[in-house]
Amino acid sequence: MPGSDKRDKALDAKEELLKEALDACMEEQLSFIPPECEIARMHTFSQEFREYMEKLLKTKGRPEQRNINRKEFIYSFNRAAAGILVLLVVSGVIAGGALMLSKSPKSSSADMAAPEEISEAPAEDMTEAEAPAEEPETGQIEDPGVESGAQETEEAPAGEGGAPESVEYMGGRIFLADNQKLREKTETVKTLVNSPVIARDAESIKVTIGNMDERPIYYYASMDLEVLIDGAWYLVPPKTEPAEEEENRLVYLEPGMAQDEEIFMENYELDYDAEMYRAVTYLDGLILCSQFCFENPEEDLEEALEQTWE
Amino acid sequence: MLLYLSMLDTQEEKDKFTVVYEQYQQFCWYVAYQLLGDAHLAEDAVQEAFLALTRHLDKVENVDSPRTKKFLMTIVKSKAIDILRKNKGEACSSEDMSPDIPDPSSDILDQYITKENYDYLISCILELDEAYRVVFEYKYLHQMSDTEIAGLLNISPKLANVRFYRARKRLQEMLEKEVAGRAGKR
Repeated sequence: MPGSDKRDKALDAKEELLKEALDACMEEQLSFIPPECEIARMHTFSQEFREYMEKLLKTKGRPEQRNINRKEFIYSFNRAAAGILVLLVVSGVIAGGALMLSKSPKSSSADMAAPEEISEAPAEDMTEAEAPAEEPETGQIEDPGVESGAQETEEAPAGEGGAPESVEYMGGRIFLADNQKLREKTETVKTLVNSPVIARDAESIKVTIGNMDERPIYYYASMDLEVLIDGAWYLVPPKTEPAEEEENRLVYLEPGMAQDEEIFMENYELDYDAEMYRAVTYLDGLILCSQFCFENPEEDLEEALEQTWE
Repeated sequence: MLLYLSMLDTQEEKDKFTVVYEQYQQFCWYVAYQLLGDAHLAEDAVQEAFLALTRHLDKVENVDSPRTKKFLMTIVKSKAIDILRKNKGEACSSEDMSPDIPDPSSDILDQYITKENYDYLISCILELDEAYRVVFEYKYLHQMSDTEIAGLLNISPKLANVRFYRARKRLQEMLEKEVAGRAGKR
């Protein structure tokens, strides 16, 4: 294709010429700019500017952010929660169906209709009986925060009013969390865990911090994990303490942005049967939490079976 | 999280950022001030520019090089233009909102980019709206992709592409006029 090669070369040459011209124009613009020391005499940066830049210089290592709007933020959370629900229902149906077939070898074709009934039943059952699974379904994204916040406010007095300072947990002792009453969100800042029900084999949980404010915020990347025991929150210590640099790492979050942070499960002794856990995030003068619990396959299966026999 | 960790900055990058800031903060302010005419808004533009730079620090090879200075100049100009637009109450320019998306097939700018027209090209670029010029600078001088440009301009890659073609169209019109004027004089 000698013809197209020639055309490409001609285009490259023109692009090169345009580049050269742009460079020359920039040089000309630059020639009108006085040296730094002269500009420094003309202008002194404001205190506000210097403070901002100090923070930026400190947290320059902030990770790339995902720019999402409120709608996307809510939608992605709902989608994750709905996915978990569907998985639970489907696994319940399959397990229930398989168990029923194996227990009643004489089962006729009439029994084959049972899974259809089950497929609706566990979903209903879950929404009524299992609070964490209910949240995303009933209240969209706004409600889990409100509901969990309300639930926590009711539970908290038990922790404050006479909850033991430390309790037995996974073969050790853990201590009462400093803050019992925590919110999941404010009007402008929100923290959300990727799903209210986490699989037991999950390697990590993801917490999304969303900044709906018009100004940027800072938060500590290092989060705390707390467990609810007898109505009070206790701090679950990590197996290994994070390095000081990592623990003090501040993350800058621009307005309208959201950022995911992770808590790695392998770093904690976890009681999968605990009633509830929460990830605690420390922001500018604000502490927020997002609650979750671990799935209970046995309970799910039992419920599915109960429905089947009914 | 692995991705997240891999994106953590090295000390070297942090140092580079600090050096760039210390060396060019006044320069950036002056560039922004020329466009905005307001010292406080110029500071805002400088903040935005350095924030944007944190995501493109890989483009800075040598802190002292003229290339770095030019790169910063383009970023700070584009941030100042953003502020100007916001202050006028425009999320994006009225031209961006126009349904008239330039047809790349009608782009004959290359025909006017010749050595004979070089001086005209220079004068047209100098007269070109700064908003268009920064798109050219990002694209041709700093070799950035549409996605990267879009990120720096806070617009979608599609809109960045539209703006690029508009810039080409505008430059083409200006050059057409210049060349026609020259022919008329002859």
